[in-house]
Amino acid sequence: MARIIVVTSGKGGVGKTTTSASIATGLALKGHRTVVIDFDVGLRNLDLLMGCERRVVYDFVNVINGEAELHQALIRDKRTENLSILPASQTRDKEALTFEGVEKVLNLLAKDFEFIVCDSPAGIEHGALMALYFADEAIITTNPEVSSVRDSDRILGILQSKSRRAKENLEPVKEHLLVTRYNPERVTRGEMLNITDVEEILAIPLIGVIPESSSVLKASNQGVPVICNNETDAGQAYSDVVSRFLGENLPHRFLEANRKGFLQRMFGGIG
Amino acid sequence: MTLKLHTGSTTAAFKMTGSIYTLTTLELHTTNPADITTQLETMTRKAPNFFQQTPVIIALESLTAELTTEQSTIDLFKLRHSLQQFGLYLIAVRGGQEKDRQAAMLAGIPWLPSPKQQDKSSHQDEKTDSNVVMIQSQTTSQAAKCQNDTVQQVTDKKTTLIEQPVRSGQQIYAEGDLVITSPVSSGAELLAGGNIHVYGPLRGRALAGVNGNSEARIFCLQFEAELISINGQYKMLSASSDTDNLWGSSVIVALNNQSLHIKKL
Repeated sequence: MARIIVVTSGKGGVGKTTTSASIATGLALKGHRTVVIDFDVGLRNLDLLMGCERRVVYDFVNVINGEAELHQALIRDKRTENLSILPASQTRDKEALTFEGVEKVLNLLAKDFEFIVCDSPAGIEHGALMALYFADEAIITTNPEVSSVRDSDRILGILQSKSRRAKENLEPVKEHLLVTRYNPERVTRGEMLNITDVEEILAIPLIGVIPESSSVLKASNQGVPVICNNETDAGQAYSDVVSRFLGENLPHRFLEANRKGFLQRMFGGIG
Repeated sequence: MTLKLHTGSTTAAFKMTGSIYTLTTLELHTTNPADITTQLETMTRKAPNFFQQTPVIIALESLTAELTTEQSTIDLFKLRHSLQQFGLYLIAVRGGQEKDRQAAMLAGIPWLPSPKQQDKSSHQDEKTDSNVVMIQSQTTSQAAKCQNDTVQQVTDKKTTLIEQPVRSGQQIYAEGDLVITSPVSSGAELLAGGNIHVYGPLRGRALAGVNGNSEARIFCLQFEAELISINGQYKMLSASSDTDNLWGSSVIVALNNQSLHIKKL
């Protein structure tokens, strides 16, 4: 059985698409056949982050409407084996996504893939509902600030009440908390919520913390998922998340402010 | 987003708010004014000051078809007048037939639709709670049976147990007591006819005794609520308000003399 994972948040700009791209790539790098779907119809971005925007001919909506076959719309990733992308349409709106249509496409994908990663649009309207409806697991992407946490809380409520698993009284959607853009120095200065606060408010298990990093923006602009860049802190953090998702037990990293320099440590230690 | 009215500004002439009131309902079982007056007299003799300035609604659903034939249409003017003599002020008419609606319009009394058939049981619970006065024709045995049904339903209120966290934007309504064994997030809303118990942090809104129960209480293990209310008396809260020594601790909220009392447990 393919596992359907939705990456969602409620709030926009917290890193859903960055996370979708990196997690899908990470799963594929570990040898799992993975497809990532862009549910943000009308504002497609995933193809940019994956560096395949010039290869989009047919899209998700074309497949739903029967205007193209699934294999025509799927884009095989050039860097990573086992990874495919199903891009969103830029010229339609989210109403083009129907329950029957999305279910049909997911059923077809489930035959060929182990993991189906759904990149949700922001908000709690139709597009976001369609992205989370069929999910088995959810990665709740949250920034350490109050409005993002509040919106994540809201989306968790929707997962509990409006997903297929909730409607059909199945085992509930498995929820994972991913805190992105975490900046330990700003947390120390009291400008950001700390991990404990966020965990306490949302009350779901933490799967990882991605540090705020210039490498994320750089990777986006280059069209390379940040997980591919293993020298960067954000890349390493995403690798950890993927390992944890697959069941490994790794300690959380990047939670503390940068270590002091060598001399500072020497003298700090004496003092 | 919803449109916000600027009711808070100082220039506004009035502020429009929605409120829920407990009202006395007279369920008529007869249209005979003499019967009604007789029963009212008996009641007021027992408790002369009980009905001082009491707004009432007249419910016509219990009137059987034979009782509402052309000859026995209720004279609302007369009824209003006789009620007033006992301190009862007729403010609306509920249910009945088209002619009753028109009669109400003519008399300048608001007309309300009767509650839906499917909601009937739950509404009857509320009504019993909200001090229903049954005006009962001495001659019909049917009326007595009906009263028994209503009384029995009081004991039927169940406790609702919620074990998952209540998230922002979720609203939970329980007719009886509401027990929650998980956190209640800010932006969530709990409503209960009875008590509210939260075995975890309460960060959202909690409204107990919403059907007019002043005896209802709110209990929680970690008190960080945005708003608490018992039977319509409410209080907005924040960490820096006068309740700051209670913030985060286990509390009980009760209504005493029309004001909310928060006490450490």
